[in-house]
Amino acid sequence: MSGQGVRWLWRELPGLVATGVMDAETAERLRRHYGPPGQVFGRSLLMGILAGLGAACVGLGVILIFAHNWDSLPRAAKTGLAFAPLLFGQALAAWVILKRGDSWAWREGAAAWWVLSVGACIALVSQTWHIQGELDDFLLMWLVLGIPAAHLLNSSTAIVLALAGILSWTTYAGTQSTASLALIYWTLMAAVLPHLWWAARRGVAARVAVVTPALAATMIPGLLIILGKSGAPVTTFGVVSAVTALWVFLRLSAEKETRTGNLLVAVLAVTALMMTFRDMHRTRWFNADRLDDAMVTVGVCIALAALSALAVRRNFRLFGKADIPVLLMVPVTALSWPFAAYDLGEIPALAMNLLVAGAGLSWILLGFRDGLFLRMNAGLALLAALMACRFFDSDIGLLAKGIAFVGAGAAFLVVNLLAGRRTAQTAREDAL
Amino acid sequence: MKSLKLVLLGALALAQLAVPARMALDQVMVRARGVQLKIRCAPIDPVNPFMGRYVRLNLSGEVAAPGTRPVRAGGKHDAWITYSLDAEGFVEPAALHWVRPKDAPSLKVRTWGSVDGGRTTFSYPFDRYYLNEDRAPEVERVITGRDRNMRPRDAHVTVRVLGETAVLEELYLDGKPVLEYLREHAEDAEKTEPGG
Repeated sequence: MSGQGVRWLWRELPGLVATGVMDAETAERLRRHYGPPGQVFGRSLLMGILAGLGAACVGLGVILIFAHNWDSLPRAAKTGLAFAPLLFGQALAAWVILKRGDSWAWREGAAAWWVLSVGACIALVSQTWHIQGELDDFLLMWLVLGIPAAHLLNSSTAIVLALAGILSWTTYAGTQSTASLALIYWTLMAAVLPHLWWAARRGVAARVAVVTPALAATMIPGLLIILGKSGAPVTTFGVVSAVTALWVFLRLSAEKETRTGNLLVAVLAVTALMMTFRDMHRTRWFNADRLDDAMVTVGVCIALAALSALAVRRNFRLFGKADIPVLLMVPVTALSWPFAAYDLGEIPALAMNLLVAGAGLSWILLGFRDGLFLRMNAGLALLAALMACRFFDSDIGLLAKGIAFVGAGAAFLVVNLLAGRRTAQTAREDAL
Repeated sequence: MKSLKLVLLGALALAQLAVPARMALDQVMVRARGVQLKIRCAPIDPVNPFMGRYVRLNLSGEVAAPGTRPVRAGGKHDAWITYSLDAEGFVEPAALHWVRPKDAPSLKVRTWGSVDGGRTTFSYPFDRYYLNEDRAPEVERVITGRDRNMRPRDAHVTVRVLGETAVLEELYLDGKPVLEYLREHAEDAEKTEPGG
């Protein structure tokens, strides 16, 4: 039974016992038989990951063995051998669909092998016949033929491999050629996303937990490569919109804070700190180089931001006060564009400073109020980082900086004093 | 649901097999029917984790060109060269064209698109000759002259051309296919070794 089913069963059992549908002993036997939900989730996640990794390692090993290029074999035999791993992968996938469709581990293993064998076959045929070509063309062909295989077997391992392929393709094509990337990049990303959507709809948290970090790790460098030449304001807007959209998606699918979500907030916090510097708000928006890529990507990012806003509005109950600074990141980052275009970078830089300071302070206060020390520490770390940034910022005069630091220090001391008093009062009340 | 998945799997499997099969068949076709050309080269030996070791052929040249192509700077572009054959039958590039000339035999090449003094540099679209991972470094050692007795005087490749498609056929050292050259010189080395 899936982790979701076991969770449902554990929720239902007390009610079933209370209404006399089953006795307590039967309920206990069922609990022992299926184990706690977390255990099932952890075990199946581990098995899936191990199967995927195992098949990926064997697949890569086979590629290397074939890549040795056995010159004692005639060309026809080498061509036949190049197809053997792919034919095996396809047959294995068919068998898994027919006989082992409900086993995550089998699907992960078979899909990882199948996807790798597609690349191996193309590479080995190219080697055998001295077929020339660029690495980005090879990767693109592999991705186009491999991504559908990942979907057919609903495999997260294969999707992660595809994301690694997309990142490799973007990096190579972005650095080695001047051809437009954005349309192909977003088409490939769109081809991968249905898996995440499917996992979230089915409540398979393990898959969401595995795929989301890989997606973020592909999107952030991808956006940096595609938008990099258009200047910091545009690039930052792209990264912030994409990361925020992923964060909103995670919150909606898990209906709570998650570790991956907190990691994405950390990425946003680092980006926000970078954008507190005046110099980051200089634009090269009108630079013609890769303008078409920038326009397509900015269009997609605006759509992502709009979708995120709509999703937040519809599910507002899932977001708390501490999330407000995160949600404000997209509009505040978007401010940079118009102001930077007229060389008025001070305004968006000031807005970003206020946002970061507001986030730090609110997280400290909310963390203190709710007894969430992680949030309180995150707020403290953010404020400390902001202060360090301003201390080394050469755009602000020494006198102004000195006064601001004295003021901030005094404010901290007052908050600390008030917090100490409140803690002591709470302790006294608890003792009574 | 299962049958739909199997139908989709069948279609995908056919596509996955068709792409590399078509790649191989194109090569067979051009090798069987194409015109053979010889191009001089200066190989070196790198490695690709997917496709194994290969000899980089360094097939490039300079040729007269009509004018800089109005494209974005920094990118490589397809172009065509017309050619003649020298006394030994090697390709001598005559002129570069931005569109394929229909009235003369031509070869597709890659160029950066900028023309200086009426001439531009280009590279042929064959830069890799794949070899067994032990043989490729041997070829590099031979060609770079680290083993003086084995250094060939000439290295060239043959390509076959059919219509717009050109495929790499063989790498020759001193007029012999590379593997034959290595085998012969290894035998020579064994024969001379006992006597010093």
